[in-house]
Amino acid sequence: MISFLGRIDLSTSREALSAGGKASCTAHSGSTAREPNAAAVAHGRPTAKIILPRVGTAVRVLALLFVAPVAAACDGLRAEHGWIRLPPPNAKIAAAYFTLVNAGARKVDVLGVSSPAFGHAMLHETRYVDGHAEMRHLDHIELDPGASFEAAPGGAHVMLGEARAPIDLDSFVEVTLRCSAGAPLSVWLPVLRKAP
Amino acid sequence: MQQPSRALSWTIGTLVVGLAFAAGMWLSARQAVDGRTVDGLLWPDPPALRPFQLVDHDRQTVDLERLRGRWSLMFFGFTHCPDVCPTALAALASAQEELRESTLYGANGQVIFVSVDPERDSPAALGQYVRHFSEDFVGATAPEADLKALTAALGVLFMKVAQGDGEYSVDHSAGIFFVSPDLRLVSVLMPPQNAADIVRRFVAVSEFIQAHG
Repeated sequence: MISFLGRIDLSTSREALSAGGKASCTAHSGSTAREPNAAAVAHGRPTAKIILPRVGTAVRVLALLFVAPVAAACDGLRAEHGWIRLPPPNAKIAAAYFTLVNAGARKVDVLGVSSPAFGHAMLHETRYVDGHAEMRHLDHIELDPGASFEAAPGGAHVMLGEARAPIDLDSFVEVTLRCSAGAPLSVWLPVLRKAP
Repeated sequence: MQQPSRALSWTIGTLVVGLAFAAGMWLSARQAVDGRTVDGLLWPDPPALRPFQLVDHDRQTVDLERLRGRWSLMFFGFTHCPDVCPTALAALASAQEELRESTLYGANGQVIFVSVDPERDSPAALGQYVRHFSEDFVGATAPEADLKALTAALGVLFMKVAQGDGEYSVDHSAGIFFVSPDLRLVSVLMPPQNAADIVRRFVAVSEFIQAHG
């Protein structure tokens, strides 16, 4: 199926994962159409990068439609500009940030979050009440079609706890969003010192 | 720190919000002195610090003498804080790089991160934590009773809040506290803070204190 899309570049390329600092997304339903190299990079295996042949846009769209999963991840939700702030050494806790965009035609509720690199993960929000910082669990994030939601330092974030291994600078960490519709959405977030 | 009952938590929480709001109103007042306006300056009566004693990440004492004769920027938090504390400390690290060029902050100005979670933050853990942001940050803490000798004087509030997973978080004042070389709290920069805001506040306040203090 991959070869149907084009040639396979076996070079291990992290740039392919996060061009321009954007989080890349892959459907959990098993479709390899979006970012087939993501899981492989995270686990240190050789990776395959799909490069679409230089054919007309219509052909590419048709090809993608042919191999697209039955249900888009999180019903068309996208996670962009994602990153994780490099945690201090031995810290068991970190925060992930991104912008969610509902590119689908229906309302999407983000109901939960997880990461294989951490023992637990929660949607959180920092609130400042006259200089007092409070961190609270977000039960869900609701996005109407076309709506976006920014998780950024000092605001909403994914709280990642109980790191299973040291989190290295410039590595990628998988974070998976569970939604009210569609397959879970996995995003691969670069670990950075500051916002991209 | 004992976990208060839910009712008590709400009562304390309401009180905290009320006090914080009053403090915010007070601190947000612009101070016009000699025709100049200095944002966030606690003037004409900046509160004087009272004696306190913490231990730093090298197990050295942090007390009034450690603060005397130099500017100190203090931030209160805890190392299990995923968002607020790393964001503020990263901003402080960038700001301090710039402030080292300023005559008033100079080589002996200091950033002190005070953990209000002594139960989980040992001096060793604090050392690793603060050095991640800057090699010359000071991490300090003390048992709760000793912490309160400092936090009460600065108006810093903190309270444990149970998380669903059996862990706890700590709600805390998230301002940056500017302590002058003569041991007075002269300004508090409210969150969210960035490096440029910190530098701007320091320059305005320290120059004013230098001229009028």
